[in-house]
Amino acid sequence: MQTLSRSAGSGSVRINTVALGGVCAALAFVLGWQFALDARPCPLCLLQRVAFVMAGVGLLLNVRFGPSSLHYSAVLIAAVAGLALAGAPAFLPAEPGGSGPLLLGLPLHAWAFLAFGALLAYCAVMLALDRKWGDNAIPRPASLAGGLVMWLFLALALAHLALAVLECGPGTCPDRPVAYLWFRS
Amino acid sequence: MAMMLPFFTGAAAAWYALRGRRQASLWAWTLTLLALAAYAARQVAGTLPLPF
Repeated sequence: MQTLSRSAGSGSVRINTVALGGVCAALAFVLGWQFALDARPCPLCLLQRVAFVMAGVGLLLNVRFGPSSLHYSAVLIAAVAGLALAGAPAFLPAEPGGSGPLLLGLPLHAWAFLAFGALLAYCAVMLALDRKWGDNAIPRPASLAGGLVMWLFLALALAHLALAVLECGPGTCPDRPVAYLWFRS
Repeated sequence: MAMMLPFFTGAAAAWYALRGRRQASLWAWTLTLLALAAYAARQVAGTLPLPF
Protein backbone atom coordinates (compact mmCIF):
# COMPACT_ATOMS: atom_id res chain seq x y z
CA MET A 1 0.00 0.00 0.00
CA GLN A 2 2.85 2.33 0.92
CA THR A 3 4.60 1.55 -2.35
CA LEU A 4 1.53 2.59 -4.27
CA SER A 5 1.36 5.85 -2.32
CA ARG A 6 5.02 6.79 -2.78
CA SER A 7 5.15 6.24 -6.51
CA ALA A 8 2.50 8.88 -7.25
CA GLY A 9 0.06 6.30 -8.51
CA SER A 10 2.41 4.70 -11.02
CA GLY A 11 2.18 1.28 -9.33
CA SER A 12 -1.57 1.60 -9.41
CA VAL A 13 -1.47 2.57 -13.08
CA ARG A 14 0.52 -0.60 -13.77
CA ILE A 15 -2.06 -2.71 -11.93
CA ASN A 16 -4.84 -1.01 -13.89
CA THR A 17 -2.95 -1.70 -17.11
CA VAL A 18 -2.90 -5.40 -16.23
CA ALA A 19 -6.63 -5.29 -15.38
CA LEU A 20 -7.34 -3.55 -18.70
CA GLY A 21 -5.33 -6.31 -20.37
CA GLY A 22 -7.63 -8.82 -18.66
CA VAL A 23 -10.71 -7.06 -20.05
CA CYS A 24 -9.05 -7.06 -23.49
CA ALA A 25 -8.42 -10.80 -23.13
CA ALA A 26 -12.10 -11.38 -22.29
CA LEU A 27 -13.28 -9.29 -25.26
CA ALA A 28 -10.82 -11.02 -27.59
CA PHE A 29 -11.80 -14.45 -26.28
CA VAL A 30 -15.51 -13.99 -26.98
CA LEU A 31 -14.65 -12.76 -30.48
CA GLY A 32 -12.55 -15.87 -31.09
CA TRP A 33 -15.24 -18.08 -29.52
CA GLN A 34 -17.90 -16.55 -31.77
CA PHE A 35 -15.87 -17.20 -34.93
CA ALA A 36 -14.50 -20.60 -33.90
CA LEU A 37 -17.95 -22.01 -33.13
CA ASP A 38 -19.75 -19.89 -35.71
CA ALA A 39 -22.12 -18.83 -32.92
CA ARG A 40 -24.39 -15.77 -32.85
CA PRO A 41 -24.54 -14.08 -29.46
CA CYS A 42 -27.97 -13.51 -27.95
CA PRO A 43 -29.01 -9.91 -27.10
CA LEU A 44 -28.21 -10.44 -23.41
CA CYS A 45 -24.75 -11.73 -24.36
CA LEU A 46 -24.20 -8.59 -26.45
CA LEU A 47 -25.21 -6.45 -23.47
CA GLN A 48 -22.67 -8.30 -21.31
CA ARG A 49 -20.03 -7.30 -23.85
CA VAL A 50 -21.17 -3.67 -23.55
CA ALA A 51 -20.69 -3.95 -19.76
CA PHE A 52 -17.14 -5.26 -20.36
CA VAL A 53 -16.45 -2.28 -22.65
CA MET A 54 -17.80 0.12 -20.00
CA ALA A 55 -15.60 -1.45 -17.31
CA GLY A 56 -12.65 -1.22 -19.70
CA VAL A 57 -13.27 2.49 -20.23
CA GLY A 58 -13.06 3.06 -16.46
CA LEU A 59 -9.76 1.15 -16.32
CA LEU A 60 -8.51 3.02 -19.38
CA LEU A 61 -9.26 6.33 -17.64
CA ASN A 62 -7.19 5.13 -14.67
CA VAL A 63 -4.28 4.33 -16.98
CA ARG A 64 -4.56 7.58 -18.97
CA PHE A 65 -5.28 10.07 -16.18
CA GLY A 66 -4.12 8.27 -13.05
CA PRO A 67 -6.22 6.49 -10.44
CA SER A 68 -9.38 8.23 -9.28
CA SER A 69 -12.42 7.13 -7.34
CA LEU A 70 -14.54 8.51 -10.21
CA HIS A 71 -12.91 6.05 -12.63
CA TYR A 72 -13.26 3.18 -10.19
CA SER A 73 -16.94 3.99 -9.76
CA ALA A 74 -17.33 3.67 -13.53
CA VAL A 75 -15.80 0.18 -13.35
CA LEU A 76 -17.95 -0.64 -10.32
CA ILE A 77 -21.23 0.38 -11.99
CA ALA A 78 -20.29 -1.57 -15.12
CA ALA A 79 -19.43 -4.63 -13.02
CA VAL A 80 -22.77 -4.49 -11.17
CA ALA A 81 -24.63 -4.11 -14.48
CA GLY A 82 -22.62 -7.00 -15.90
CA LEU A 83 -23.39 -9.18 -12.88
CA ALA A 84 -27.11 -8.51 -13.33
CA LEU A 85 -26.96 -9.25 -17.06
CA ALA A 86 -24.86 -12.40 -16.65
CA GLY A 87 -27.06 -13.61 -13.79
CA ALA A 88 -30.32 -12.94 -15.64
CA PRO A 89 -30.29 -16.27 -17.58
CA ALA A 90 -30.66 -18.07 -14.24
CA PHE A 91 -34.10 -16.43 -13.81
CA LEU A 92 -35.20 -16.52 -17.43
CA PRO A 93 -37.04 -19.48 -18.94
CA ALA A 94 -34.56 -22.02 -20.33
CA GLU A 95 -33.95 -21.79 -24.06
CA PRO A 96 -34.87 -24.80 -26.18
CA GLY A 97 -31.30 -25.38 -27.33
CA GLY A 98 -29.81 -25.03 -23.85
CA SER A 99 -27.51 -22.18 -22.87
CA GLY A 100 -25.05 -22.72 -25.69
CA PRO A 101 -21.67 -24.43 -25.78
CA LEU A 102 -19.87 -25.01 -22.47
CA LEU A 103 -16.38 -23.90 -21.52
CA LEU A 104 -14.80 -26.15 -18.87
CA GLY A 105 -18.24 -27.33 -17.87
CA LEU A 106 -19.80 -23.89 -17.49
CA PRO A 107 -21.79 -21.77 -19.97
CA LEU A 108 -20.19 -18.52 -21.07
CA HIS A 109 -22.60 -16.36 -19.06
CA ALA A 110 -21.45 -18.14 -15.87
CA TRP A 111 -17.86 -17.26 -16.73
CA ALA A 112 -18.95 -13.69 -17.41
CA PHE A 113 -20.65 -13.65 -13.98
CA LEU A 114 -17.38 -14.74 -12.34
CA ALA A 115 -15.40 -12.14 -14.33
CA PHE A 116 -17.73 -9.31 -13.28
CA GLY A 117 -17.53 -10.54 -9.68
CA ALA A 118 -13.74 -10.39 -9.93
CA LEU A 119 -13.97 -6.83 -11.29
CA LEU A 120 -16.18 -5.90 -8.35
CA ALA A 121 -13.67 -7.33 -5.87
CA TYR A 122 -10.85 -5.58 -7.75
CA CYS A 123 -12.60 -2.21 -7.37
CA ALA A 124 -13.20 -2.78 -3.66
CA VAL A 125 -9.51 -3.50 -3.08
CA MET A 126 -8.20 -0.73 -5.35
CA LEU A 127 -10.54 1.89 -3.89
CA ALA A 128 -9.04 1.10 -0.49
CA LEU A 129 -5.46 1.22 -1.80
CA ASP A 130 -5.91 4.30 -3.99
CA ARG A 131 -7.97 6.38 -1.58
CA LYS A 132 -5.19 8.98 -1.17
CA TRP A 133 -5.18 10.08 -4.78
CA GLY A 134 -7.26 13.05 -5.81
CA ASP A 135 -9.03 13.59 -9.08
CA ASN A 136 -6.84 14.52 -12.02
CA ALA A 137 -8.16 15.55 -15.44
CA ILE A 138 -4.72 16.07 -17.02
CA PRO A 139 -3.59 13.11 -19.13
CA ARG A 140 -0.29 11.55 -18.12
CA PRO A 141 2.27 10.00 -20.44
CA ALA A 142 1.64 6.30 -20.88
CA SER A 143 4.27 3.59 -20.88
CA LEU A 144 4.75 1.51 -24.02
CA ALA A 145 2.80 -1.39 -22.52
CA GLY A 146 0.08 0.95 -21.29
CA GLY A 147 -0.24 2.56 -24.72
CA LEU A 148 -0.40 -0.81 -26.45
CA VAL A 149 -3.09 -2.13 -24.11
CA MET A 150 -5.16 1.06 -24.47
CA TRP A 151 -5.06 0.95 -28.29
CA LEU A 152 -5.78 -2.79 -28.24
CA PHE A 153 -8.84 -2.08 -26.10
CA LEU A 154 -10.08 0.56 -28.55
CA ALA A 155 -9.55 -1.86 -31.46
CA LEU A 156 -11.54 -4.57 -29.65
CA ALA A 157 -14.35 -2.13 -28.77
CA LEU A 158 -14.55 -1.16 -32.46
CA ALA A 159 -14.50 -4.83 -33.52
CA HIS A 160 -17.45 -5.56 -31.22
CA LEU A 161 -19.27 -2.49 -32.59
CA ALA A 162 -18.74 -3.79 -36.13
CA LEU A 163 -20.02 -7.25 -35.20
CA ALA A 164 -23.09 -5.78 -33.49
CA VAL A 165 -23.86 -3.80 -36.66
CA LEU A 166 -23.36 -6.89 -38.84
CA GLU A 167 -25.49 -9.08 -36.60
CA CYS A 168 -28.33 -6.72 -35.72
CA GLY A 169 -28.24 -4.07 -38.45
CA PRO A 170 -29.44 -0.60 -37.52
CA GLY A 171 -32.30 -1.86 -35.33
CA THR A 172 -32.91 -4.24 -32.46
CA CYS A 173 -31.44 -7.72 -32.38
CA PRO A 174 -33.57 -10.82 -32.95
CA ASP A 175 -34.02 -12.92 -29.79
CA ARG A 176 -32.33 -15.95 -31.32
CA PRO A 177 -30.06 -14.70 -34.08
CA VAL A 178 -29.16 -17.39 -36.61
CA ALA A 179 -27.30 -15.31 -39.20
CA TYR A 180 -25.66 -11.94 -39.67
CA LEU A 181 -28.52 -9.64 -40.63
CA TRP A 182 -26.47 -7.62 -43.10
CA PHE A 183 -25.09 -10.70 -44.82
CA ARG A 184 -28.51 -12.12 -45.66
CA SER A 185 -29.32 -12.21 -49.32
CA MET B 1 -33.52 1.04 -30.17
CA ALA B 2 -30.47 0.13 -32.16
CA MET B 3 -28.22 -2.47 -30.57
CA MET B 4 -25.21 -0.76 -32.07
CA LEU B 5 -25.82 2.43 -30.03
CA PRO B 6 -24.24 1.31 -26.69
CA PHE B 7 -21.31 -0.22 -28.59
CA PHE B 8 -20.86 3.03 -30.50
CA THR B 9 -20.94 5.25 -27.41
CA GLY B 10 -18.67 2.79 -25.57
CA ALA B 11 -16.10 2.95 -28.36
CA ALA B 12 -16.45 6.75 -28.39
CA ALA B 13 -15.77 6.84 -24.64
CA ALA B 14 -12.62 4.77 -25.17
CA TRP B 15 -11.53 7.02 -28.04
CA TYR B 16 -12.03 10.23 -26.03
CA ALA B 17 -10.15 8.75 -23.06
CA LEU B 18 -7.26 7.82 -25.33
CA ARG B 19 -7.21 11.34 -26.80
CA GLY B 20 -7.00 12.79 -23.29
CA ARG B 21 -10.53 14.24 -23.22
CA ARG B 22 -11.82 12.93 -19.95
CA GLN B 23 -15.01 14.99 -19.74
CA ALA B 24 -16.15 13.86 -23.18
CA SER B 25 -15.21 10.28 -22.32
CA LEU B 26 -17.29 10.34 -19.15
CA TRP B 27 -20.28 11.79 -21.02
CA ALA B 28 -20.00 9.08 -23.65
CA TRP B 29 -19.71 6.48 -20.86
CA THR B 30 -22.89 7.86 -19.26
CA LEU B 31 -24.73 7.63 -22.59
CA THR B 32 -23.54 4.03 -22.85
CA LEU B 33 -24.97 3.28 -19.42
CA LEU B 34 -28.33 4.85 -20.35
CA ALA B 35 -28.48 2.92 -23.63
CA LEU B 36 -27.53 -0.30 -21.83
CA ALA B 37 -30.21 0.25 -19.17
CA ALA B 38 -32.88 1.04 -21.77
CA TYR B 39 -32.00 -1.99 -23.90
CA ALA B 40 -31.72 -4.32 -20.89
CA ALA B 41 -35.10 -3.18 -19.54
CA ARG B 42 -36.67 -3.73 -22.93
CA GLN B 43 -35.02 -7.13 -23.26
CA VAL B 44 -35.71 -8.47 -19.79
CA ALA B 45 -39.12 -6.91 -18.99
CA GLY B 46 -41.84 -9.36 -19.83
CA THR B 47 -39.57 -12.38 -19.65
CA LEU B 48 -38.94 -12.20 -15.91
CA PRO B 49 -41.79 -13.33 -13.63
CA LEU B 50 -41.83 -9.93 -11.88
CA PRO B 51 -44.81 -7.57 -11.56
CA PHE B 52 -43.46 -4.75 -13.74
